[in-house]
Amino acid sequence: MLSVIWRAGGLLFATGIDAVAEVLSPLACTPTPGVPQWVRGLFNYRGRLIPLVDVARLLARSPSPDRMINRVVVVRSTPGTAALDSPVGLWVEAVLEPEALDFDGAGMHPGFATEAGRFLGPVVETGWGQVQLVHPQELFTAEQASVLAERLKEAAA
Amino acid sequence: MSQSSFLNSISGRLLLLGVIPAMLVIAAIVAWSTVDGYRSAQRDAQRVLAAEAVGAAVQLDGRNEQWNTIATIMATSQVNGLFGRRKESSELARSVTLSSPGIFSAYFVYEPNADGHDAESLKEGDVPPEAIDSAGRFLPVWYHNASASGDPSGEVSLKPSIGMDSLDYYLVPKNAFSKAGTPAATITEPYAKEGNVIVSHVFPIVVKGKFAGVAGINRSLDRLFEIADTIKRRSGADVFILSSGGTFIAATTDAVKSERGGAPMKDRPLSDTPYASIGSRWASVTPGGDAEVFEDRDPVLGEACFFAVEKTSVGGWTVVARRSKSEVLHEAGAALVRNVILGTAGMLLVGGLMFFVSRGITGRVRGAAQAADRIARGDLTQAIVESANRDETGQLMRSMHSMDSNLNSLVGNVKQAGIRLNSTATEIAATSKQQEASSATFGAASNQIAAAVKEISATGRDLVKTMESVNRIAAETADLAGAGQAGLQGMEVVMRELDGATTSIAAKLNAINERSQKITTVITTITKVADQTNILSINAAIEAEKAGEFGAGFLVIAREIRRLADQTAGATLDIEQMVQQMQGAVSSGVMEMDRFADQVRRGVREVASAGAQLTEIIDRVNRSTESFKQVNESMQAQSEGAQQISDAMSSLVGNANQTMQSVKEFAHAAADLQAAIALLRQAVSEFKLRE
Repeated sequence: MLSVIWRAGGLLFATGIDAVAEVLSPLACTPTPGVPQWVRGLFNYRGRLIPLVDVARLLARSPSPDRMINRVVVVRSTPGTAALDSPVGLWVEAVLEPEALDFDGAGMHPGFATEAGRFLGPVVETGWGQVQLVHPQELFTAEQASVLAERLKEAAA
Repeated sequence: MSQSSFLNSISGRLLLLGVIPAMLVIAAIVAWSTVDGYRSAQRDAQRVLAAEAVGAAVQLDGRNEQWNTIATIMATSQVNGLFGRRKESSELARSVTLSSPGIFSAYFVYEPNADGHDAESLKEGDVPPEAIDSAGRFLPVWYHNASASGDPSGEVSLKPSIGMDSLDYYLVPKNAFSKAGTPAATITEPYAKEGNVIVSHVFPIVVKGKFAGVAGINRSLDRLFEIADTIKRRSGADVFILSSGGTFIAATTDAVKSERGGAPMKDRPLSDTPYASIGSRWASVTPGGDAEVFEDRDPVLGEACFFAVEKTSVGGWTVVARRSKSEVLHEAGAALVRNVILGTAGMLLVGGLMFFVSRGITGRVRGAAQAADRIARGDLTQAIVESANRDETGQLMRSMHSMDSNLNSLVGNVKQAGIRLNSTATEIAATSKQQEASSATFGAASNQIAAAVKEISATGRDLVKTMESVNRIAAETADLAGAGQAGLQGMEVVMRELDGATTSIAAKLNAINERSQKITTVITTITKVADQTNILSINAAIEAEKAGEFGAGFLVIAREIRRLADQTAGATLDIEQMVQQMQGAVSSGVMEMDRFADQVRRGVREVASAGAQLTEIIDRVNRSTESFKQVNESMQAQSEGAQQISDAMSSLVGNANQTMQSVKEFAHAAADLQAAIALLRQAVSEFKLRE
């Protein structure tokens, strides 16, 4: 599967390229009250406001300082999931390379069944180091998703 | 005293050769200057009279020209567009009348229906009815009138002109134009009007080559009497002014003046007055140049008079200035009497003085001649009387007197001196012997002194030579120090150049620093571009993946683009590092250059101070050279002085020898003297002296 490899909180992650809408340069966003600390705020993406999530904070890792190499990976909304009816921007430290990674191969870790690690998938060894698959539609809990949805609705109004 | 002896005496000759010729000359001068003064007084009077006439004519010309100009301007305004505009033309005549109290009236007169408006003027109320006649012909006259009612200002009134078929003011310019073909200003003959004597200054209005009427002003001639009276007051000459037609306009004589007021004599031509007989000659005078002067018998005064006659060039008026001949010659006669009295008095004074002076001179000269005769005989016993007179004869008597007394005392003294000389000569002979001996002693002593002085002189010369060599060494020292100073100055120049060079290098380094900062800016831009390219390639890869197998080729291109972007980013990093290193090097270079420049400046200062010290050394050496020179010069002077003393001593020795010789000769001379004195005493004994 062709995946986009990115780094957050000093760790490498990958996302399937079909879930990725676009990669953007670091951008400014509007801070939004009443959202979790890991949401940096809302930003205008092609005419609609979408949330910008700081992945390092989401993973409870200390965030690195802002640099030019930082990127925003926009992941598509996935219809059918309870999560969120909106694309989401992921604030990452860097995007390395789209690369074909084989997460389904023999000996791969299937992922965590726990609530906290629900969005983490198997890990592969690459030329960059160990890379773990992330399921973006699993990033938020139902509660977090509803809070975000509410804020988005308020902002749109 | 006989006739011939008087003529041979000094008094007789003075009278014959001095007084009589002088009296004759004075008499001739008095006679000649009297006749000449009489003639020139007559000429001057005529010239003054002529000048007065010309002056009056020029003044009248100026005034007539001025009035003519107003008439000309009025006519020209008609030709230049006012012709036919009757209301405005009438207004113009009114304002001309108001413009000067000297203008009695101003008017326009058109030929019948010259402008074609006669009929409509009768109908319309635009043109005042006083400005036209019953046929509508335009002929307004504006005139000064104290009780005027036709004008709101109460100064001027309007009325129609009359007499166009009979009066000069219209007929003269009309006929003149038809004869000459060109318009010209005309001054009419004077005429009486309402108690004033008036002339008209008229100019024809010519429209399209045809006579269309006239424009003009009337003015009073009263002012002319003032001009004539002013000339009379100034020069004493009577003045008549006649018009071109020969009519009296103004005069200062009572005979004519008395006729002013009631029936003005101006209406009377010259032929009606007593001056008809002599006035006929005045007509021949032409304007310009000098006035003509006639000498005639005045029919009113009944005596001979001078008449200066001049014509004015404007209006052709005649100005006559008159003065009676007896009045003019009265002044010359007074001068004649004065000259005769003064001449006679002068001659008597000269004769009396000559006689008085010659008598005194003769007496004194005779006394001097007798005294000189007596002295020639060797008789000095009688004293000569001294004269108090200060002239040459008095001086002669005083000189004779002092000569006599001097001779008296001289001869007496000579007699006394002869006796004393004899004894003195004896004493001299004895003294000269004694002197001869002491001279010999003096010669020996002088020789010794001369030898000593020569030695001093030689020593002095040696010393001078030594000083010269010292001086030369000092000069060489100064030269060397000067060369050293020049070297230091050269070094200072080089160090200053070095200072300049380091400053310019530092400036260049600063420039490099600025450039490298600009490079950093460019690098930042490149980095940003590379970053954007990176993002673009990632997005391209994503899109290509979505396109499935159609996007496979594009995926490869995206990868290549990304690789290039990464390489660019890496290269810019390298450049940035290099630029930073370069900036560091440049900064340290600038610091190093500053430090070096400081050192160079310090060096320049030290060299300058060394130069100053050297200058001081040179000054001192030069000063000491100067004092060496002074010492040298004074020693030289001393040496020369010693030489001079030595020379003087040598000549002194020579002189002493000569003196000895002279003393010997002197002794011989004393003996001769004694013999001569004996002869002198014998000669003097012949003079007889007063006791």
